[in-house]
Amino acid sequence: MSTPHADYILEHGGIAILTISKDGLIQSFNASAVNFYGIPAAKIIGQPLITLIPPDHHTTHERAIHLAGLQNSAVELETQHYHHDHLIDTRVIISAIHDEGALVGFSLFVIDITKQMRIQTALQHERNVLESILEATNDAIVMVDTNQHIQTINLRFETLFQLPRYQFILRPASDLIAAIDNTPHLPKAFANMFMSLATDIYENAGGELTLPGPTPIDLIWYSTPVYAHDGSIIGRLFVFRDVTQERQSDRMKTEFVALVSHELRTPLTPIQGFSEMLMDEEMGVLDPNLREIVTIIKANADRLAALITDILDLTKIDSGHIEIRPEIHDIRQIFNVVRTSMDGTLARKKQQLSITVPSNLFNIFVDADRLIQILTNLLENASKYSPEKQTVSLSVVMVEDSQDLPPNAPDNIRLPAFLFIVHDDGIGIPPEEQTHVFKRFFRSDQAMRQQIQGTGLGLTVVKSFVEMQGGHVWLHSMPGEGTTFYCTIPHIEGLA
Amino acid sequence: MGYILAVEDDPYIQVLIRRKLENAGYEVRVYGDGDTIDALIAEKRPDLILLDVMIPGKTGLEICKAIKTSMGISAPPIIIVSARGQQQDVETAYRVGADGYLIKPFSPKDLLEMVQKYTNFER
Repeated sequence: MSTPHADYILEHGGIAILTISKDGLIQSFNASAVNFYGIPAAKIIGQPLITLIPPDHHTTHERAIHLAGLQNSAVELETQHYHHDHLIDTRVIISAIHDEGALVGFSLFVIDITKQMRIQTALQHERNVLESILEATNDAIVMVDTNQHIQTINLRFETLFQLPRYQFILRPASDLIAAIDNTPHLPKAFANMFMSLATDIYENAGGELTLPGPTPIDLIWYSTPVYAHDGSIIGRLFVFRDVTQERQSDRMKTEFVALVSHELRTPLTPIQGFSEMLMDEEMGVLDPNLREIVTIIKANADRLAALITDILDLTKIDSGHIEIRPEIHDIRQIFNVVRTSMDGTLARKKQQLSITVPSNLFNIFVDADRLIQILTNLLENASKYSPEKQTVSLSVVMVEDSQDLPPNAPDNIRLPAFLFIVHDDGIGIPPEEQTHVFKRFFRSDQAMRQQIQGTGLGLTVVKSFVEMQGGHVWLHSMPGEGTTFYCTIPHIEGLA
Repeated sequence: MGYILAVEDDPYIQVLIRRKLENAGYEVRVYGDGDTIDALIAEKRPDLILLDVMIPGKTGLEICKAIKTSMGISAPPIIIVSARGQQQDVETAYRVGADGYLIKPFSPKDLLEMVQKYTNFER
C-alpha cells in the first residue's frame, strides 16, 4: 500500500481519516478530514476526539471504540459529527490499531451520508404516507407479488374478514387461502376466487360476495394486475368494498317504488272501470262529445295501468325477485296466447299479425309467462311504430350454427337456440338511437314527435327477461324501412 | 240470478262492483271489512264471494281460508281481488282455496265474466 499513489489517496481521497490514541486523543488528521471538519490539522492534533462530536453522541462513540478494541474487525456507526459550524449525518468506521500485538489506538474513517439519509428519510416518509392511506381506506386491500407472496394487507381487510393480517404478510398466498378456507363464516367462493386468481397474473376480474351472518355483509370486489413504471408486472391487487348500505338503500328504494305502484292501482280501478262502463254505454247513451272525452280518460287510465305494471316488473327485476321457471311448452300454444293478447292492440290500428312456425318445431323449454311478455312487448312496439293496416310478423327458427344467425348478431350467443324474430315495416329506428332503446325510460325522438304513447320500459323488461333465460336480444333497423328485433332462448338438448 | 257478497274497503271500488254486477242483474252487498262475514253467510248464502286482500281486520286471504276450511265443498266460489299481481301472490290465493284472482285495476267486463263463469258453474 505504501506507494506514493496510495498515500495521496489516503490523504485526499474524500474520506476523512483520523487516528486516535488508546485514550482518545487525536494523533493524525488527513487533508480530507481538514476539509470535512474545517479545522487545521495543527489545531486539532492532541485534542480529544470528542471535540468533533456533539455531546449526545459521545456515549455511542465510546461504546463503538471499546467494541472495536475487543474484536478483530471494524465497527460501523451511523451518527453525527460537527462539520464546520453545524452537524451532519456521518458513517464512522472504527478499527483498532495494533503494534506487535498490543493495542495502540484506533483509526476512524468518517463518511458524509447526508444525501443518503435525506433520500432514506424521504422514502420512509413516502412509505409512511402510503401505509397511512392504505390503513385509512375503507376498502379491504391485499397485494400478492409475482412469487405468490402476500406483500400488503391493510387494516380494513383484517377487520372485515377477521383474519389477523400479520400472520400473512410476506407469507405465501396459500397460507391466507387456507385460512379463508378454514374460517367457517367466510364463503367457499371467496377462497376459490383467491386461489384461481393468485396464480393468474394477467386477468382482470370482479364480482360480488356476501359474508353470511346475523347481519350479512354485501361486498363487491375486483382484482387487477399491478404494473411497475417500466411495464413489468409486480403483483396482483385484490380490493373488497362493503356495499351493504348501498344495497340496503337500493332495496328500500325498490320496495318503496313497489309499494307506491300498488297503492296507485286502487284509485286507478274506478277510473278505468267507470270509463269502460261509460264507453260501453252501460250508464246510458253517450253523445259523441262525451264519448270522445271518456275515450281519452280510458286511454290514459290504461296508459297509467301499463306504466305501473312495467315499473313493478322492473322493481321485481331489480330486487332479484324474479324467478325463472322453465317448463316444456308447445310453441304454437304460446304464440296463440300472444296472438290473443295482441288482438285489441292490432284491431285498433287495423293491422294484421303474421305468425310463422316451422313444421319441425314443437316444444320449447322456457318460462312461458316471460316469453309471452317478451313477444307481446316486442309486437306492441312493432304495432305502435307501424302505420295502420300494415302487417307485423312473428316467427321462430332453430339456430344450431352461428353462421345461420343474422349478420349483425352479437358474439357469444349460446347455441343451439330458438331465434324469435319480430318484424315491422314501420318508421324504423335511427342508428344513433339503436344503442339506447333497451335503456330504462328511453323514448325515441320520433316517438315523442308523433306522440306515440309508451313508458320507455317495455324493451328494458324484454332485455332483462331474455338475459335471465340465457338469451340475447338485438335489432336491425333503418329509418323508414322498418325494424326487426331478434331474440334467442337457448335450446337445452334433451329437453323440449 | 244470483247473490254476490263482496268485501272491499275502497268506497269507489265498492260502487264500481255494485253498479257493474247490478247492471248484469245480480243482487250485490258490499262491506268494508270481513268482521261479520260468517253471520252474513249464515243469514243468506251467497252464490259467490269477492274478497279484497288488504282490508281492515282479517285479510281477504285469511277469510277465504277460514270459509273454505269450515264450509268445505259447500263453500261458495271465492274470487280474490288484489292490487298485488305477482305469481306468488296468485299462487298463495289458490293455495288458500280461492277459485279466481283479479288484479287491480281490473276491467269490469273481466269481473263480470269471472263472476258469471262461477255462478253459472254452480247452477
